Amino acid sequence: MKKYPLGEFEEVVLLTVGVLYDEAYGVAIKDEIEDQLERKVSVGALQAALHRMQEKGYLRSRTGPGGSARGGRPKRFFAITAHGKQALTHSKQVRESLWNQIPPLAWDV
Amino acid sequence: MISFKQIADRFLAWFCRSELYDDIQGDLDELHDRTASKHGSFIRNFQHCWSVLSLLRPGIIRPDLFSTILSNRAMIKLHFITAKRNILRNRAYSLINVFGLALGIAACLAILCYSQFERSYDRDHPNVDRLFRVNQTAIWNPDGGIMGSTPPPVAKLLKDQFVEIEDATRINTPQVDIVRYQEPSGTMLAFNEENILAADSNFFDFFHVPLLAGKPEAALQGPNKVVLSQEAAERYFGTTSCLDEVLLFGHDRKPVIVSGVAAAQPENHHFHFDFLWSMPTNPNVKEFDWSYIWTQMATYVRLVPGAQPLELEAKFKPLADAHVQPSFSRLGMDYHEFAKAKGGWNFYLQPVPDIHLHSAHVGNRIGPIGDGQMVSLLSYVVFLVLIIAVLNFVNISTARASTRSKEVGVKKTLGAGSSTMVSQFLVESITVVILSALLALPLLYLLALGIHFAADIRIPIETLVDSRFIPIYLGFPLLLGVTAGLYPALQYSRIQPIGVLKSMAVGSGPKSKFRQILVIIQFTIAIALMSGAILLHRQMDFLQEKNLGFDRENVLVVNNASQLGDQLHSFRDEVAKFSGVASASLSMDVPGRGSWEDIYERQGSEQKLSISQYKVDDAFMKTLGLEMVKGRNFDRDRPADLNGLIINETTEQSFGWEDGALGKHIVYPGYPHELTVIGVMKDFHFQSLRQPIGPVMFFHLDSDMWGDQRLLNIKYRQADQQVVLKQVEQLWTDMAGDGPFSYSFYDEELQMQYQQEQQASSLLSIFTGFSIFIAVLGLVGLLAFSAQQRRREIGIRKVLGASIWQVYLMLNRQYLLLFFFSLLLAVPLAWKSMSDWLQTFAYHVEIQANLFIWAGAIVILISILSVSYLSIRAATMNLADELKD
Repeated sequence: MKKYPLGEFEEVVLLTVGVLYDEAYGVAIKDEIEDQLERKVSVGALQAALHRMQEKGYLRSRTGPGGSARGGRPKRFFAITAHGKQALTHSKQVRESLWNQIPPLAWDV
Repeated sequence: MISFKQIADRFLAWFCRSELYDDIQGDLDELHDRTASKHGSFIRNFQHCWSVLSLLRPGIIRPDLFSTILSNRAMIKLHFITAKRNILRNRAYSLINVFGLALGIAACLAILCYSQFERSYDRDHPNVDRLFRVNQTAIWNPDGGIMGSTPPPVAKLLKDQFVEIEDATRINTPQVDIVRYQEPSGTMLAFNEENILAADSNFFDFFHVPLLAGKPEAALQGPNKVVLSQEAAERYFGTTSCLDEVLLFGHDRKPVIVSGVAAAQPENHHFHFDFLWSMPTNPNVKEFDWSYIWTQMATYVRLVPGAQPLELEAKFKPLADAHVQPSFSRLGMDYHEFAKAKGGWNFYLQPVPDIHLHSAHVGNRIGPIGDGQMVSLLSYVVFLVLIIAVLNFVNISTARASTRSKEVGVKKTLGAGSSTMVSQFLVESITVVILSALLALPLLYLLALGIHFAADIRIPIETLVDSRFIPIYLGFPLLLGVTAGLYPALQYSRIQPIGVLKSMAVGSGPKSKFRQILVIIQFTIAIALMSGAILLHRQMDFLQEKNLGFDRENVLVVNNASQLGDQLHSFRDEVAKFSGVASASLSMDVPGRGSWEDIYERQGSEQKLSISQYKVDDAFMKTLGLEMVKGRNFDRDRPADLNGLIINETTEQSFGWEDGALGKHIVYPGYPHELTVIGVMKDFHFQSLRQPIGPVMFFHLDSDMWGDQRLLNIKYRQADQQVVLKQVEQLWTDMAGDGPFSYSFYDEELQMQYQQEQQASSLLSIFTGFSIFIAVLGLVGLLAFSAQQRRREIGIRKVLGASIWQVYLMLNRQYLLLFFFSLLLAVPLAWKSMSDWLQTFAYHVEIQANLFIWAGAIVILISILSVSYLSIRAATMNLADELKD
């Protein structure tokens, strides 16, 4: 079993939560991913990923006040936990190590 | 009124984990709210519902949801058991219900497949949303209009002048027919070919035509190259690896090298080629490079992303005035006057995917076009058939439900709530709809076979697997089941148990009115369709039998006779000597194959007239049985007749020669000789009967008028048909060598002119049959039901002395009244749509009152006969059986 189970989409979401720092709630995360990665994100996929990662301990959340556009409903803001940071670092290191092992000849494509 | 959004929100609140609900709902609301300025409420609600559905996944659904649903399982199971018992208990009704609806669904699916396919043309080309065909003012049509053909320089002109145009390409139709191949063994293969096109070298950037062999960027580069279709490659070489082989084209056997082989082209493209030349292979293109009136091209442009076709079109306005004029001066013609008569000379952009269905008047010079009208006619008719089927279903369902008040009463007494009763009725009706939808699939297959056989229209049922249909196929039964089940469901969920249980009454007062209205609607549609079908038949008969002013029977046409070259005349003379042949004549064309038009002037006046022209020899009028009014036919012994003309009466009148046209002169600008009228012939229908008779004239076959195509028309004696055909073919082989022999029978060919009407007529008959069948099926169900309901009444009436006939009348009387209403409603509806359709023909039958009488009588007769069995059985039942309990 992997040490830090983290799917590709989960990783994107996790990173985006980090990018948005204090402003990481559902709609903002969705917008940011759609904007930066030019891919469509369904509300369902996003919410499922967020709550899955919360259960894994990569994310924590707090609720904050919502505006009138939300019918007064609260926003749930997410933030990366120390465990989440480790998962991201791990994933980055694995990739870098793989990159470094590619012999230069392999790039002659 | 509750909106979709509210429904979706409630659904979300129901299935979502409570601790997540608040902020997710907040996110959704925010998303919904901020697109308010961008989209209409329909799209926003749709997106909203979609988002809610996307949340249906583990982690978000509350964990106890399934156990909640499952606790209801016993009851839902009970609903299915009740539904099954009900369906089986009344097998006859269930069968009628399921079968009628299945027929309606099958018809609907068939037409959905058909129209979907017709609309799917040319969607697979790269960047198709930026691909347009350039159309222009129809300069050859005296009344103007728009045509899909353009002259050679337009492509380059547009590309050079407008930054909005990324690239342009052209497709041309070289006038070549014979293709030969010298096999390595020495034998010469020769075929008459029809699908020969020529295209610019960037053709493959524009259109999705993958190559099996050859390079797309090089295949059409430079002269004397040809790309074959897979079929053609196999026909000539038996393989698709035939690069660099040489094919010989046309009478002069022009050698062209095979530079590519294209993969099989999908049916839904607006053109198909067997041979695609590189553009310079056709020498005429170079020759007419300057010409703005050699409209022999289809020109296509690809716009840069974001360019607006309408704005671009507006910028085309000054183009023609600036560039066409030199072309005209070169021909000695006055451009401004010419353009004025057409209402200006303009260029237009038509999206490539629209070409197939929306080119009725614009045309498509490189392939056949679809019939948008047929697609809408069919959709319209099938919609009506579906209405009949659905009304049937609603009708029988409500009628059936009304016998169940006792059951509802008992259930409610035992504690069933309103919602339980509603869901029970819904489960039942949805079950029936689902059964129908399943039965519809094999029926669809049979229907597609039937339509193919009767109307020669292929229903592409394979498109049904298309993912877009699945929601329709699944969603429709649910929607219909809910709609049809809802009325009885609501009606019966409100029942007061004490009332129904005490009196055992079957409340049917207002509801039977409702059913009667449904029956009226059904039969209105059936009678309207029936009268439409009869009228279409009458018009078709009229078209087939109308005297066209010439004789189309027993005429054999030999095509492509120009291959005979110098021997052409001796071929005719030899054929004329055959004993079974009455006469043989050479011409450039025959009436009914379309006509060539040009603009002529009356000498000594400015009056111009667009006249259709044929080139014929002296035996032509005799061969086709045309009549002369005054003057004389061409004469072989008079050389001056080469510049003689035979005009029809309409031409004479249009030029205003009341004192007779003989000896008068007609001027063809640029023609080197003076043309003299030597004869006037009786008007004949040289075009289809959609058009009124226009001006037409005959040039002498050997005159200097353009047109190299030659046909041999042979009038034979009926009994000798086969002998003559054999003799002519033998003579052809002797004279033309390996040139392929191609012929047609003239009367059959003329019938093809009305193929679309013929198809429409067959299809309408099929669907009319369907609608009547379904409507009658429903009627049988209703009558059986009412006979059963009134068993006791019938029994008592009979005891009191009613005759069988009286009982029969009593049961049928109400329906006769309904038929009468339906007839009254159907007449104006059918009248309006039929007279609109008839207007598309210049010559047509009149709508007569007996049409409706026939239609009504047929429908009513079929209905009465079908229900008679039931009525008579009810009327002759054994009294004792019915009255004892």
